[in-house]
Amino acid sequence: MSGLLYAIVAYSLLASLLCFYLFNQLSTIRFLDMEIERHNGRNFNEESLKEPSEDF
Amino acid sequence: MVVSGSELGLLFGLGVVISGPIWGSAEWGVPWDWADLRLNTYGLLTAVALFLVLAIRSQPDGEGTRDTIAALGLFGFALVPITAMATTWFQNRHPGAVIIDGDETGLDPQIKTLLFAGAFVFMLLFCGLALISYEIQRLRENLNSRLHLIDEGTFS
Repeated sequence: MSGLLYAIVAYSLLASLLCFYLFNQLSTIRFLDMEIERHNGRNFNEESLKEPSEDF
Repeated sequence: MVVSGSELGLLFGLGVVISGPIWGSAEWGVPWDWADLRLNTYGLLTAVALFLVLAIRSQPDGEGTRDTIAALGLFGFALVPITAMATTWFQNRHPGAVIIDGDETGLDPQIKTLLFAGAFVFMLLFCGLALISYEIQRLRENLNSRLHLIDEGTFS
């Protein structure tokens, strides 16, 4: 029984580690995709050509 | 390649370093044995991977950083055969090689099948994670080149 408990704890930790790593990697891919999209040529030029607002 | 390798080395190393002592507590009665060569060289190898990951992420890219990372990488590379041969040279906690069939060695066929199936699945996992890591590097380089063009004012 004790061995089973050790195994459950060990595999839970390993699964958590793997899930954390995968989540982190997939979040990074999503973030980089969004950043590339944000800096996409057309969008960037439109933004950069805007006149500064009066408030500014 | 270095980024993916060090990240995955750290992930798999941590997997062993976390689960190993739990297994050791159940089987050996102690979580860690400082006199066992395999344990300590593997722990050191994981520490090298941790250093590489932290150094790559925290230090600015330059000749000095690359030289330091390369030197530590070579140290880790040299540690791999030492770790692999550790149980052949010293058998304090870990037994010697048991996979090869001999007079006093060898595995039950069922255990052997399970072992090879597990190794195969972990290889697949490693390849999948390496592909994800490679994709991240590709996107990061893509983004960096775009940012570089914006800085130069030549983006079109």
